[in-house]
Amino acid sequence: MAVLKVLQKDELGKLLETLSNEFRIIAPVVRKYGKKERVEYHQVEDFSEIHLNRQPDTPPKKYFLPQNERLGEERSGEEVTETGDRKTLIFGVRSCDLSAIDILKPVFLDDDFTDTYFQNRLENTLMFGLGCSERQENCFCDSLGINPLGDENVPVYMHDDGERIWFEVKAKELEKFFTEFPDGDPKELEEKKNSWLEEFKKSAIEIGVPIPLPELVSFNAPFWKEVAANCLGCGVCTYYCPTCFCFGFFWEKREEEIDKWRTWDSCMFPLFTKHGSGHNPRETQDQRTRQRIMHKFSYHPSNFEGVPACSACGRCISQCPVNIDLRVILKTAEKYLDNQEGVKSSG
Amino acid sequence: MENKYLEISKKIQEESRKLLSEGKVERIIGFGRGEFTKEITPIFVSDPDRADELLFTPECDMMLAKYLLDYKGSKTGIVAKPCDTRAITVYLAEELIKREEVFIIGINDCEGLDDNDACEECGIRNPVVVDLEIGQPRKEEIDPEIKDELEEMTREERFEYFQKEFSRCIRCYACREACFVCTCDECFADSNQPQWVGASIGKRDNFTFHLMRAMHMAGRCINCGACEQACPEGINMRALTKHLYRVAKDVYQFEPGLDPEEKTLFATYKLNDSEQGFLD
Amino acid sequence: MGKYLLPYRGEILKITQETGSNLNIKTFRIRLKEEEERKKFKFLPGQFVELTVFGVGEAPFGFASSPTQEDYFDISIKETGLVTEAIHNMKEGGEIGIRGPYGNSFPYEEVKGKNLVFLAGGIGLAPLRSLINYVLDEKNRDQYGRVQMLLAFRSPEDMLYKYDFSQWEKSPNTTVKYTIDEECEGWVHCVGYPHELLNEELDLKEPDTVFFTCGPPIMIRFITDELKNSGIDPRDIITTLEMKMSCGLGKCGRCNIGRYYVCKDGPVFDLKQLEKMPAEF
Repeated sequence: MAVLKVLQKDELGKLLETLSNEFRIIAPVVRKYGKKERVEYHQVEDFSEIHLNRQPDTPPKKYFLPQNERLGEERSGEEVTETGDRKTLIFGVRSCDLSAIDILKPVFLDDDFTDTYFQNRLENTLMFGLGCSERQENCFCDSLGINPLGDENVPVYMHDDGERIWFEVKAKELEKFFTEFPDGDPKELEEKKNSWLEEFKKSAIEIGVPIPLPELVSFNAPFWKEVAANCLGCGVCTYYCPTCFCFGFFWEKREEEIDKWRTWDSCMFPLFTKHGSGHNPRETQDQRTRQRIMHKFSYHPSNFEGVPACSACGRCISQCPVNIDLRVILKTAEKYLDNQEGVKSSG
Repeated sequence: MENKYLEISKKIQEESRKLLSEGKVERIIGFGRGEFTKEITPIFVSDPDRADELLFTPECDMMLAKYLLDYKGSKTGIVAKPCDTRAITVYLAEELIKREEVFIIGINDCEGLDDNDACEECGIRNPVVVDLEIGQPRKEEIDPEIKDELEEMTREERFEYFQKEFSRCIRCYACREACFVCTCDECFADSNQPQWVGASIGKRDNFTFHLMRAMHMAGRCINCGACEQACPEGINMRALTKHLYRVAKDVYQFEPGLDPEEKTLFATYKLNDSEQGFLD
Repeated sequence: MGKYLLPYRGEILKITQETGSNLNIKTFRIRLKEEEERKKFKFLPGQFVELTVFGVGEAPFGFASSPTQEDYFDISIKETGLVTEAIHNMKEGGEIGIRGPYGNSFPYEEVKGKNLVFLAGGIGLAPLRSLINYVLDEKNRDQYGRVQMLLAFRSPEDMLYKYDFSQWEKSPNTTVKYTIDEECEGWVHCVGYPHELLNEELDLKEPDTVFFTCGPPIMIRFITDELKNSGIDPRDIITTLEMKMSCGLGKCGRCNIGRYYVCKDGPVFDLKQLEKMPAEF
């Protein structure tokens, strides 16, 4: 049974202070760039900076798959991950982003080719979950069966009721950090959770497409041109996605040595699949949009036990320069498939 | 929505319905609202019954002209802010589109858009080319100052400033894709033979990308701010490009996108041209 | 645990100029430098490796030699881009990076006891050579039935593995036919595209025959169409696909066709599988 603790918000600093003796603390903080105000994950020293009030604009993916990651010296290097001396604690990770890491696990920890870099980072990181007491901009995790108020796989899960932060401490070894704080009443938290969930239900969107999307029927559907007509072809949706994991390599010379690096890449870029001969199997933007959606909702779930490569955080929607909406695309697919005889039954 | 914009929207819907049902255009490129987001998004209407989805508000900050390049060879109507008409004018001057293939529904007396700082520096408030005007044209001319931060900076300060700004760049290329000027079939940044820019998001590669992109902007950028609006990282994209715009204007008396007959800045040379470079 | 993203060090033992300068194909005989690593390196016909030219980049290439040849492997490379150009400029003794082997393989076990037909176009013969040499190896030859080959090249100048031909021809129960695109002086073999010659030059009607084809995409398409029209079961038509592969691990996202990653689930597929995949080649 988890230990339940309640902290006043001004006590957070005290908790983090002690945690920081053992962990490198990463948490959402506000950054202002020109007139843009963003919430981003950063390493925090001043804990008063921490901002838990809304979903961060960027996912914590970069702490597991950095945008640029040095793999090592190419000629003779070993596959070693530079993780630092302390373990990393990512504080206040919402259910969508926690699910996203779970989605990445079977991809990078597969038996055939275990990715030691991802594995090492994962083993050196723990996350404190944070429930959403209200729906965030454009998110719909509940439509994909994700619980906005809980996750089994984290050692600590938090809830923000506006005044206080509740901590469900599930890992025994972390209880020591919480001993000085008062216990919470499980019934009171349960009631709060229920009322938050009620609110979620009111604004829920039903995503009724079969997952995995039936491969050939969906691939050959006529709606891709329509849903991708206004797509600019930039990589924002994929670079802000907590689950997108496509990558490429690049090399950097350091005097006599050559370092091999891994870098994010995007299926939305035309060059991504262009052959040396000039031939490109995904020549047009609608083909690339189709790949993005089909990968998330058809190919990936077909390969990984029905789980889509999307945790419905809504960032691809919020950050898209022309406001393309994944939910609209899924609804379009749903409508189309509903009208195709026998699709749902044949899968 | 304010009355003024309601009226503009109504007029756009009316005219679009007419154009579509009379077969004068195959589609209208305009602005609509997302089903769930309620945000503005570019839409493409070819069914006259869907003309009511078209609207115009001060949130309509996307540049639509670039979509015209997707529909060459057929007649397309476009809802165009004055800046969109300037982009269209550049396309006409560069012969990227044909005048007879576009039907421009131009919005008069643009008051500027929400959250787009570029609008404050814009002196063109009526469409430059237009087939159908919405609203009354603005009479009095304005010539707002372009706040060119670079002017005051030394070379070293500029370098430092851009290093800092571009350090946040994640190379998503939203700026490039949103920019109507960026129409190359293959961008130098995507070329690997030769490779001009590395794939890293290191300072050097980011800086190279933005600087090289800017070099293609001189005399073509109209300072519309689309790059900055598209940038998810809040990078002050226009610091570079508006400097180029100002130099083209002040030094060469050239403002792109005002006259479809005019040759582009780089396509002309006058004996008395100043020797000043764009990044001096 | 092995390395998957960083290469092992290899060395080029021998370089053979296969074709004239028009196509410019060379075959590189390569082995891993360290004996320990060499022992662990086991590949199958149809698999591929990622080769790294240090300081330039890496690219995928199919094995062109049989795994029965254990001390080294052959890779045939046409000069087309940055990496291939750099490899072409390398000398014997040069150092090269090796990642792999990756991918599935030709069903060399499943087709034991069957008759085999190989249909190759140009450098498409390279991956088939791995299987051909495996099947025709003295140790394995009696486990397979009749072997027929139709090898197509643009011109006599563009032929590969000429040094293998006499041995292939001498192998028991084996026929080898050659064709070029256009008639030319001194040529005594067939002329024309392979799909036009199939029925005439080969015995397609023999039961229990499996077809392996590799070459330019357009050739593969014509050949598979022709074979299907002749009533061959699509499961008996096997080819190897070329997509933009990069990581080799089924992760980086470039080479998938539908749910299948060519680098991991392929590159070898039969026509029945291909027909069920989205048309995104």
